[in-house]
Amino acid sequence: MDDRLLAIQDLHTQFRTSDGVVHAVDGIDFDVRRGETVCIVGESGSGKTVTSESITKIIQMPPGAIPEGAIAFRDLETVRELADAFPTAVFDVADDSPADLAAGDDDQFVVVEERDGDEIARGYVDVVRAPPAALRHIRGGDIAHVFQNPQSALDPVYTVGWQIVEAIQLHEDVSKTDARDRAIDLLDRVGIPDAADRFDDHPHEFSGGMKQRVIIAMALASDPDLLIADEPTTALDVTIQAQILDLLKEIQRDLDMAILFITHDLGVVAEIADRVVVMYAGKVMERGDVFDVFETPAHPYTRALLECLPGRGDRMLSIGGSLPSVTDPPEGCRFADRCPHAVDDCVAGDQPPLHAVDGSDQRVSCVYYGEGYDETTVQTGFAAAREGATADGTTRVDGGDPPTSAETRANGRSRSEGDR
Amino acid sequence: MSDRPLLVVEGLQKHYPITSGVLKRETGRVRAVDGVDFAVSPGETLGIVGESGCGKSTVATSLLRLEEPTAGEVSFDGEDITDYGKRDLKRFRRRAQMIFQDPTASFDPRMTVGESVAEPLRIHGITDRQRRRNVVKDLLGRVGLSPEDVDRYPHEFSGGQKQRIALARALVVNPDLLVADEPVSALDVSIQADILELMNDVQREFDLAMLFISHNLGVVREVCDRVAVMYLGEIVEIAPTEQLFTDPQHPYTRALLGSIPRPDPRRRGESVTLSGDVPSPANPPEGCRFHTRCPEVIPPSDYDFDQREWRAVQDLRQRLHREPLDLETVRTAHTETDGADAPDDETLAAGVREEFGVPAELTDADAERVLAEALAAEVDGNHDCARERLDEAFVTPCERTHPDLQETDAGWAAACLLHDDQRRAVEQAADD
Repeated sequence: MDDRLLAIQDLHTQFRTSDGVVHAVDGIDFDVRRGETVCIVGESGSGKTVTSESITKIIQMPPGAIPEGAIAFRDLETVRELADAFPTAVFDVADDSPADLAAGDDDQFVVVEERDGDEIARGYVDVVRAPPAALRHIRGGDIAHVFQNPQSALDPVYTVGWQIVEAIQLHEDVSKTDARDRAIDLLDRVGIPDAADRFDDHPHEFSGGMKQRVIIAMALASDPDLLIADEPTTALDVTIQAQILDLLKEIQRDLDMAILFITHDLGVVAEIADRVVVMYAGKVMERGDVFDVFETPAHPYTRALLECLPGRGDRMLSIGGSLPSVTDPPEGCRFADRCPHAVDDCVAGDQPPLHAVDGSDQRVSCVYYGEGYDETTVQTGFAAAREGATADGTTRVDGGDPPTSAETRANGRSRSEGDR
Repeated sequence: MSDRPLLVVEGLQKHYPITSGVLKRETGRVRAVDGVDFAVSPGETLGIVGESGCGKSTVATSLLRLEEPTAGEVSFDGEDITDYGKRDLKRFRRRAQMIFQDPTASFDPRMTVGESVAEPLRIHGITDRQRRRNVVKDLLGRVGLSPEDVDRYPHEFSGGQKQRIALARALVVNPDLLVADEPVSALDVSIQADILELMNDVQREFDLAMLFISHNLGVVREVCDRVAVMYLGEIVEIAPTEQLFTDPQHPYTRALLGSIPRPDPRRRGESVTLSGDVPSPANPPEGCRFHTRCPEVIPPSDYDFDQREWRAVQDLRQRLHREPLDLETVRTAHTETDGADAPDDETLAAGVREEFGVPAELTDADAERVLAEALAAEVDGNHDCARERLDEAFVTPCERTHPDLQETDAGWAAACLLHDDQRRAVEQAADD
């Protein structure tokens, strides 16, 4: 059975700037299944936020644009509603063969794959091609967002309760009193103590963690199928972060809602994800089940990211180098420049395709998993590769940006004698 | 590391007045830092960790006298800097430098990196331009940049590189103490590791004493020799880093360590979740400041409580202490689920218990009687009676006695009544 709720294919999101076109998201694929939590993890500049904002097209266009790719939202109810509302935009795939996402006219964004009599039995809405009116239906209604900074997501001049009532009435035709009751319920649901009393409070009367709870309540107002949470706990203290993660897990269990969780923190990923997408410089480096990715990280970047985490008790290893240019991305693998295993094939052609790892769900974009390579080379660990390289005095393959600390020290000493 | 500490802080306080009215009368004070003691030796890194609002940054700014401390002594290299005049202060500030969280905000965008890094040298009396330039070039090399970067502008550098420059600027006057306030919090993990390595290196090279302030315990573990944990303006535990991580003595330290998400999906759900938010430092709780959230808060000896029950009862009691319960939420929740009309008092009381995670019946029969009475009074609208009943019966020693930072059996100091000596002292006092 197809339990995909969201299927992203070959998505490209670009921004035109004075320095050239920024390829923020450069051809990525992944799915989100119904009721699961998918984490997109990456450093700043990896394209994770742009990916999440492309899903409901809340990016500024222009300068932003999605020149290629498809974002298929497969919630049947939404497909039916939008097919009724936009009958001319329906594209029927006659036979049962899996539809090519690029099929159809540009304005035909409701794709029907299967009918049961008159009823649509299978299909999707292509968000990329959807017009603003259809997007308004999807945004907040079927797909809701929670952002990093709860401060800026709430209007300081209105009471918290009123803002939730507004969210409810936007998607449903209910009376003010009913909306008020629902709002109190929602506030109670997300763990605001004394919800009825707090209804008339203004945002500044809430702490950061409580504000984030209010935002979550607002997102839940329309009972969404997918919640996109972009770094929702990054601005919070660890003790409060733990509370919010618990809350999200609980809500997901109760409402059977899918969560797309964007974060830079691998600890948070391990805590909450079912599946993980590791992004780097606009590309997917690796994706798979959370246990596979953490226990047998396949891509050298994933490995490096895990090894540079501070405070694990083990030695912390820095990656070195810096992100490649976003306006003029290098040939080959985006990480090649900083990868200790990089060979000639890594710096030629396109980003390697997503190879399967041992027949599991795990996919990795690394040449070592292709034909003619031994994948165990990159699995021995970044640490070993690094140690070998620096111990015998040869320089490791990196951007040559900041030198390793050993070099820094040596240089510093020899140069310093005169002045100090 | 020499034996004599370079920096000794005793009883440091920084209170901010809360004023109101046209006359700006002081109506209260925010106790940002409320009496902290610690010492840092040459070559040593002391970490200060805590949640936002615990006063960790205020410790830094008030010990450097960027803000005047309200009370307390700070002695640096044997001299008390709190009564330094302008000249002495300038001399002191050459020896004690600071770097900040946001490397972008710490540079003048219109000055070249060379000018920015050379500025402290100029202020501290090196007039020869060429010599300044040479020193700066040398230092840029040492922090992992190129000496040629001296004529470039801050915007040409990435965040990590800017933090390297900030470090160069702090080191340029050859300080003895470096205070780093969240130096890597704005950076990506892969860059963080580089900067932390660099800081460790320069510290060794310059034999610097370092005060490293961070909310990130992982980062602290990488660079610090000892760590002080702060909560609401006070140090609750201070210990050698590894020991603190492996055998924390204070419940707050345990909770803080327990709430860091670990990069291991097999261990998910193991984190300790603290209830509630950090109380306001303008009105800190009596006794132990952590008792309002502490999962290990001590139950009264008259009753036989399960620890979890006791925490829940305390939460309920603290809530009642503030104001009457909001029964409307319980009522609406009830009518919606059961469809019944107005719920009776018993159902309401049960709803309240559920809300606070208090079991339907406490293990201790006496305690149960008190709680049932109080809840009955509350739903009956007799709030004062309910509050008094609970206050009278369910008092924790933690709210009566303020624990001092004392050496524990583990060999380092923690401020918690759970540690034997403290508890004995309290019990003895009660007997007398």
